[in-house]
Amino acid sequence: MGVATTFAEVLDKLFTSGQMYAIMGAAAAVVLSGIGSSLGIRYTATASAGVMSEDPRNFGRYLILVALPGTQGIYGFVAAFLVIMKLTSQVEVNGQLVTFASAMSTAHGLQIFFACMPIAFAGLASAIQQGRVCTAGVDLTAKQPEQSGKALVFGVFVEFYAILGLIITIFLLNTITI
Amino acid sequence: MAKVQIVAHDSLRDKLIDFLQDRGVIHITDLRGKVEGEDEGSEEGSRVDPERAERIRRLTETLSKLQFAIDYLAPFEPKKGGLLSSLAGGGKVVIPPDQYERITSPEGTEELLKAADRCYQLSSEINRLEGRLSRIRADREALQVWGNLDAPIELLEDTERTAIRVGSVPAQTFQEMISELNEATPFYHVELINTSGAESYIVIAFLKEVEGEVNPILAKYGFSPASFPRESGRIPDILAELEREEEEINRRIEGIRAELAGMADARPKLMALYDHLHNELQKLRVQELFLETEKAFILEGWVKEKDLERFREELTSNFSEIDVFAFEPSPEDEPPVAIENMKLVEPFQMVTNLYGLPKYREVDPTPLIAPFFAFFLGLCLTDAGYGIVLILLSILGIKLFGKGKGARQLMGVLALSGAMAVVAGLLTGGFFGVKLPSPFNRLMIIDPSTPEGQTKFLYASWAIGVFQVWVGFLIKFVLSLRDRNFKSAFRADLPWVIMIPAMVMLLPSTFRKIGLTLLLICSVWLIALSDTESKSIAARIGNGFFNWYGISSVFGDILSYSRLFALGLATGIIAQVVNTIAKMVSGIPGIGPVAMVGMLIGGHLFNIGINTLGGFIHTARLQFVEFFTKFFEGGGEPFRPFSKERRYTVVLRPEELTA
Repeated sequence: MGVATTFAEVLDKLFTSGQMYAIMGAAAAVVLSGIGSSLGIRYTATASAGVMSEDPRNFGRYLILVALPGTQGIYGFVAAFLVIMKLTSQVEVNGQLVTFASAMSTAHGLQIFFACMPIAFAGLASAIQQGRVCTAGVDLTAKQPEQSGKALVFGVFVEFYAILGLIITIFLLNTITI
Repeated sequence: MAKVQIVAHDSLRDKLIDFLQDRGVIHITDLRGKVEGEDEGSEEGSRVDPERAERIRRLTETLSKLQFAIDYLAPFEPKKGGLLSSLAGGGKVVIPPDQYERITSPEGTEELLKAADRCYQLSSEINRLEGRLSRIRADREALQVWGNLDAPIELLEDTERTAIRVGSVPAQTFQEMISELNEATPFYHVELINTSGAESYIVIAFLKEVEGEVNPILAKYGFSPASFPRESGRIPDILAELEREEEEINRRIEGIRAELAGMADARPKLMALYDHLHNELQKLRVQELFLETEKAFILEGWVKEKDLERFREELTSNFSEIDVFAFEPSPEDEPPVAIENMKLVEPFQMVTNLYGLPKYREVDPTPLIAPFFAFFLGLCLTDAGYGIVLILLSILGIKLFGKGKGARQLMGVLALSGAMAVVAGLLTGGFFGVKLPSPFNRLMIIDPSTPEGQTKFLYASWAIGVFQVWVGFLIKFVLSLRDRNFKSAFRADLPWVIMIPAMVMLLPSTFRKIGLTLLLICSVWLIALSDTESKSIAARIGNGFFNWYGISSVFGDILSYSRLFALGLATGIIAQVVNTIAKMVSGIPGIGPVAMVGMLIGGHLFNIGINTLGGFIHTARLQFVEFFTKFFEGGGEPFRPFSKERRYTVVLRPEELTA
C-alpha cells in the first residue's frame, strides 16, 4: 500500500476499502441495537424503580422484565462478532498459522455492510418497542405480581422480529465468501 | 372433584370451622352469593351479621397495626445466623409449639398488641422529632450568617424617630448602594454584619423623615428583609440554644431508637401473632360465604375425590348435628382445578400455571409440554458445559431454597433443561464455547461454527417445530375421540394430522407425488367437511375454506421455531467471545492469570444467566402460542382449600428442623 499524499487520495483509499465498509456494518449492528436496548431498558428500569419506591418486594420479577429488552444489544454483538471473524484470515506459512487482514473488495465490504442491516434496524426498533411493552408489564406486576410471567410472554412477541433480523444477518453473512 | 354440602346446627359453628381449616381439604364456594344472585330481593339467608362484620373490621385493623410494627422494626433487627439458617424454614421464621402457645394466649396477645401500639407511638414520635429537627436546622442555617450581630433582636425595632431595617443585599453592588445613599441623605447609618456567599448582611438605621429617599434605593439594590425565628435575645445566644436543643432532640431520637432496637427481639413473635390472627380472620371471612338461617347454616364446597370418604367419615364421627351431602359435579358446574403429576413432570406445572390452569374438563397439558420444554431450553443453551453448570446450580438452589414450592419447581425445570443442554451440547460439540475434542465428539451431528452447520441447525429447528405442531394436532384429535365428539374428530381434526406429514413428504422428490395427493385430499376434506355447524352449503364451504387457510398460520408457527436456532447460536458465539477475551487478558503482565480466570468464570456465568432467562421465556412462548393453540384453552379456577395460611412463620419443634 503506497503512502497517500493528498486528502482526495486518502478519501479514495478509505471508501474503496472493503474492510472499511465491513467495519461500518459491524459497528452499526452493535451501535444501533445497543441504542435500542439501552432505551428499552431505560423505560422499563425507571418504571420498575418508581414502582419499587412504593413496594420494594418482587425485585426479581422486575429484574427479568428489565433484562428482556437487553437481548437485542446482544444479538447485534453476535452479528458484529461474525463480521470480525471475516476481517482476518489465517494462512499457513512455513508450518505456522499467520493471521492476515482479509483481502476484501469494495463489493464484498458493501455486501457485509448491508448484511448487518437487518439486525441493526430490527434490533433498534424492537428493543425500544419491547421496552414499552415490558413497562406495561411492570404496571401489571405491581398490581398483580403472580401475573408477571404473562407480561414476559407479551414482551417476547416483540423480540421475535429482532431474532428474525439476526437469523437473516447470519445467513447473509454466510453467503458472502471472501 | 366432588361437590359437598354441609348443613349444621349453629352450636357447632366454631368447632366445625376450626376442623375444616385444620384439615384444609375443602374449597369453599360462595353459596350465599349464588342464592342471592338467583332470587334477588329475598330476605331469606341474606342477613349479614353486624357483629361479625364488626369483628372482621377490628381484626383487619389489628392486622394492619401488626403489619406496620413488623415492617417498621425490620431495620432494627440484628442480622444473625447468616443466610443458611434464615432459609431453614423456607424463608420463614421457625417458632417452637410451646412458644406459639404462649404468643396466641390472651395474655400473650395483649402484650404483643401493646408492643405493636408502642411501636406505632414511637414511630410517630420519631417523625415528630425529626420534623422539629429539620426546622431547627433551617433556623440555625438562617441565623448563622447573623452570628456577628451583637445587638439583641428586640433592639432592632423602629424608635420614635428612626427606622431600622435588617436584611441582605447582593454583595456585588453593596458599595454602589452606599455611594448612592451618601448622595441622597446624610441621615443614615449602615452596619455591615457579614458577607457570605454573594450576599451582604446589613443593618441600616435612618431618620424616618428620609424614608422616602432611602426606601427606593434599598428596593433598587434588591434589599430583602431578614426574618428571625425569635423575637428577642442575642443571636449568638439563640444559636447556642438551638444547638443545645438539636443535641437534646438527637439524644431523644437515639433513646427511641434504642427502645425500638430492644423491641426488635419481639418481631418473630409479632409475626407469629400476625399469622395466627390472619387465620382467625379467614375463619370469620369464610362464614360470609355460608347460607344462614335462625339456627343452622349451610356451606358448599369442592373436595378432591380421593379425600372425600375420609372427610365425610371424620365429619360424621366428630359432629352429631350435621348433614353431609356429596354430589357429582353437574354439567353447569365449573369446579376448581388441582393438577397432579408424577415427580419428573411436576416441576413443569409452573409453566402451565404461567399460562393458566386447564379448565376442569380439559386435559392437563403439563406432561405434554415437559419433554418439549426441557429439550427446547437445552437447545437454547447448546453447550454441554453450560448444561452441567445449570444442573449443579439448580441442585444447589434446591438445597438452599427448596422448601418453597415455586422455587423447587423452577429449580427442577432448570435441572432437567440442563440435562437436555448436555445432550444438545454433545450433538453440536459445544463445551464452554470450545469445540469438543475427538473422543467426545462422536455424537456431533451439527457443527454450528460452519455455514453448512448453521443451515442444518436452522432446518433442525424447523423440523422440531413441525413435529411439535403435528403432536398438537394429534392431541386435539385424540381429545375429540375421548370426548366422543366424532364429528369434530374426523371432519376437522384428522385432516390436519395427515396434512402435516403430507407437507413434509413434498420435500424429498421420491415421495412428492404421494404427499401432493394427500395434501389435495385433505384440503378438499377440510373445505367440504370441517364446518359441522352451519346449515347452508355456501356457509359450510366458506368456513371450510377459512379453516383450510389456517395452513398459513401453520407455516408461521413453524418458522417461529427459528428462535431456537438463533438463541442456541448466540449462546455459542458469546461463549467463544468470552474465551477470546479471557485469552487476551491473560497477557496482561502481573494480573494476567487472575484476570483470565475471573473473565472465564464471570463471562460464562453471565452467558448462562442471560441465555437461560431468554431461552426460558422463548421456550415458554413456543408452548403457549404454537403448541397450546392446537388443543388447549385454559382458564380454570385453581383449587384453594380453606386451610391455615402462614405468611411469616412456621411452627416446628427444633428436632423437626433438620428433617
